[in-house]
Amino acid sequence: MFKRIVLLGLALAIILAACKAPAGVTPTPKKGRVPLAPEGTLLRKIQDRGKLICGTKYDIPTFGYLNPKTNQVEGFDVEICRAVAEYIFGDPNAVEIKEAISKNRIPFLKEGVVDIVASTMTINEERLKEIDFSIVYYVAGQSLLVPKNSPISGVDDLKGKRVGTVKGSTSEKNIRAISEKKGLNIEVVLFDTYSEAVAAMDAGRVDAVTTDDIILYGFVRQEPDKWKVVGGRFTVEPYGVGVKKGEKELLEVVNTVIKELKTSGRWKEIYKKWIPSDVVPEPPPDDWREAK
Amino acid sequence: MSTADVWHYLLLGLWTTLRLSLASMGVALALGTLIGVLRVSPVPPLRWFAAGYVEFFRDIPLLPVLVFVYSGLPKAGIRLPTSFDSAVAGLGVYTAAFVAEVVRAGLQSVHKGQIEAALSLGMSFFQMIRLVVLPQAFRMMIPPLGTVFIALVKNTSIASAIAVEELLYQAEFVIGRTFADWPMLIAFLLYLVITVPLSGLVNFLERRLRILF
Amino acid sequence: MQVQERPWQILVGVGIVLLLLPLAFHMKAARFAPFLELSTWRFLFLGLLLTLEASVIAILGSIPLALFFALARHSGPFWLRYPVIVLVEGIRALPLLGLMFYLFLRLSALGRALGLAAVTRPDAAVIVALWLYTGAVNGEALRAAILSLPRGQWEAARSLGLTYGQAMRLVILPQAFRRALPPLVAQFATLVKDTSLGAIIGFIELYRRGVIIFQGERNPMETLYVVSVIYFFINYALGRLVDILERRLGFRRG
Repeated sequence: MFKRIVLLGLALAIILAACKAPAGVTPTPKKGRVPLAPEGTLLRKIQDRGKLICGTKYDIPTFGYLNPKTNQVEGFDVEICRAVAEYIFGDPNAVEIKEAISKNRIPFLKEGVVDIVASTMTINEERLKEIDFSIVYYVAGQSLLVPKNSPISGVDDLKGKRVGTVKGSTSEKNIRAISEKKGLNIEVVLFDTYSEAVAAMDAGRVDAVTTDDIILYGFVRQEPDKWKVVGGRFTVEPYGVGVKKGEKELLEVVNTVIKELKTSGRWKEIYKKWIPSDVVPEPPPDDWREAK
Repeated sequence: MSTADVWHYLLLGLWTTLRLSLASMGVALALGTLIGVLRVSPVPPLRWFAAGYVEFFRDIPLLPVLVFVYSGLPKAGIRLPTSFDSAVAGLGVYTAAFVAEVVRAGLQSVHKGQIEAALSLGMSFFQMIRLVVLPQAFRMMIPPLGTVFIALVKNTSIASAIAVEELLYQAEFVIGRTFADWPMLIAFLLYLVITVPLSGLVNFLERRLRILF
Repeated sequence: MQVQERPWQILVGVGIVLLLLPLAFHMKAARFAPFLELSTWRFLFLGLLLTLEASVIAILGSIPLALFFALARHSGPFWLRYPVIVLVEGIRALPLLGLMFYLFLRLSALGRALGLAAVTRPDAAVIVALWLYTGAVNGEALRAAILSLPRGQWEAARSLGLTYGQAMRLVILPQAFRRALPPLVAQFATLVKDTSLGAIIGFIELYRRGVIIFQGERNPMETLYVVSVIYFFINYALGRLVDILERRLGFRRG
């Protein structure tokens, strides 16, 4: 009797595991603009699968945000993912979004949990050793977020203060480096996501949050009366889409898509839609070393 | 980051884990003993409150409790100065529920005759508990309290989510810098170094107690 | 002093706790406003479904694993028993979050090697970690139950001519399962709570959705309170199930 229950339960579990529908949308088989890639490549796997799996942030209102009102992930990075999906499949909805936070996005690529990562990821030499990057699709700069009434107006005011940022980010390394160089003795407090850092700042746990200005502006957009961005940009952060090392075909597709977005004017449209800025700049140059 | 650096960070984390475990257990023991005693008090509303406390904290996860203390309480004006303090408070309040159950079982295991004798001598409820019941129950409570402590040590890893620089936090930090995962295995080893001997100790104490009784 | 609280009295106590919390910490009625909107509940409810789904898969999968661990350690050949002992004791001695995080880093490689697509699920590491941990803990509970049965059962079964396998299957295990059921179900309640740890590795379950809400609405206390109450109801129900099982299965002690 008991065994029957267990067997039934196992059967149920297997069925449940097999037919789960993730937080994306079911793909429709339409025609893309990419010829069938050779067997064994990641691009081919994507094409056979019928949808692109993309890692983005879930808590950055401008670039990657899981909106509780709609249960959909939205933002600049999400638009890039959708553009790539549209290029491959002819359907921008043929994409499944997963959360890729700073500390797991590179392992995710290496392990094949996601196909590409568009997660406000800065291109640098160290990361280039682990994964491949597309051409630059955005240039941000690290800055500071502080409460509206805070006396902090720049990095030098951070002497002896507590600054929140995220595990595994360039922001973390940069602020530590600046602290050492200028002898500021900054206490760096690490969280899993930027929104947690901001929540901590809201609770008075840290005096400032540091990361790329574009991410910080997202929080200002959410609560304009509470926060302000100060300190200007004290680093240059060229964003690239992450791809697993060696997957040339996929990388080429992503680069083509980004180039097209820049030249067709769609890049500016996406910028206007998501970035709360009065001025819409020109798209950035492709080479990350040229970014300034 | 060199191997020496990795070890440096992990050992720092281990030290924090130990401090956090001991501090939280202190809070849990104090609060839990109080709740456990209330649990068997002759005043029904106090009994019900204690039962409710235990039932509530046993049925919810630890993570929301920690985040409530860390990010929520400041909105009520209660800001514990560091994330370590918040973790001690959260872990302490949470684990107190489990300590309370051990204390209750311990108190209820004392022979009824003892209680009747104490009461017939004119002792108040609290005197009876403090002078007669608790000392006798104490020995019985040690092994299960040991088990609660081991669970607590493992639970300190959850404090990494509120920026406490304990072992798991340091392991994640190091992995983020080195892009390797062997540091996690070292962290596992360090956890085992604490929990396995403690388990052995608890088993040993259990066996000794069974012989004595 | 030897009182056993009736369920309604415990619930009154919980009610007192639930009333004291908002009062003690000055939770504002206005900050509960998001919970008047249907979209908030729909968002949370999706999380609850994901929590329950992961829990059910892990629970059901852990039963055969627990059986394997228990039998291997109880009566397996030495080359199976010792590795299992090391494995079970190791898993039980490690923090679950650590297990989850490590599996999260390594699971996809393993999945590709085995050809399983399911490992790309965001909750794959959560389920596997819970499966292993619950299997180990429940395996020990089962083994303890087997050991607690009177030797007479074994001897009678063997003297009737049953093989080891038949004796196990028809006589020992059914009784052992019945004895182990209360602690087994109690461990399942713990499992449901532990799914909340998945929030840290990208599993957008109930707790994490609460966090997303309060990061947007800036009402951490009120939201965490609501989320905790939801967990409470689920595990309280499971706890009552344990009580019923203990009573009906005759809480026999030697």
